Amino acid sequence: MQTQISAAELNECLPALNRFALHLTKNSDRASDLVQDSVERALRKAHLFDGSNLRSWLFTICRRVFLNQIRSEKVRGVAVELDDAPQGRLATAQTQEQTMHFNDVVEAFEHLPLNDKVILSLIVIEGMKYEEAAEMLEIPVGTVRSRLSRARSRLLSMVGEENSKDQGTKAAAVM
Amino acid sequence: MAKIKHLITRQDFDAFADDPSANARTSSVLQRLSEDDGAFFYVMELKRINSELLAAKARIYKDEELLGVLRNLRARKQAQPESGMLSRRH
Repeated sequence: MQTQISAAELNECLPALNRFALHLTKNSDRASDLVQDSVERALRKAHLFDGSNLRSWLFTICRRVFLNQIRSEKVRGVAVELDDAPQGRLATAQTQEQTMHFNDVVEAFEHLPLNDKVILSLIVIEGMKYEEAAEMLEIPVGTVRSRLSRARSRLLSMVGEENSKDQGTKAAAVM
Repeated sequence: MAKIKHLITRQDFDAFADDPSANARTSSVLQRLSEDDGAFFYVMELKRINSELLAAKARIYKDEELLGVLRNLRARKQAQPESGMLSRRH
């Protein structure tokens, strides 16, 4: 089935798409670029749209474009026009929420069992491949994957607990 | 489609967050990420935590016990014959 996308329908979705892109990229310039790339792809692939939910379809495209960007940036790095970029934009200050999240993650890491710290350090901080970590620890690669998964589960649950405590404190302060 | 969902495990998402190019099942993972909000935000959260831990390297390596274990592992690895240089992924 071939469906046309009207400009009016597309315009209606743009504010939500822009918010979604901003949520993904955390940067207004990159979000604008992402929206533009997503809309361009949507118009090129308009014949594939089934006519049911344009917003949902655009979000799916936006996510795919974003994931592709992440993968290519991993290989190429992010291109920045130094001459065009205002100095103030080069160093973006972290928001208070990002700083709190950062501290929560590092504090949770410090409270992990030693084995969890070791596997996370090798893979995340040292940047080793799973095979290299397996060789160094003299364990199978599958064991590296499962240990890593368990370490992350513990880390994520500890960060989640910290957030719950903070929210509880905030709620108590409001009450 | 349903079969793919069952085949992709949490460990595949972990591997994708650590190194998208090294994951043999990247295309299946990407397909799942494009369809599943929960999986997508899980991977985004992992990538964020990875970058935060990397940024906190100096603070994390103040842990003498952890540093000692890592040094021992590295020394043991270097002492082995035929040990190649460990390449950084990032």
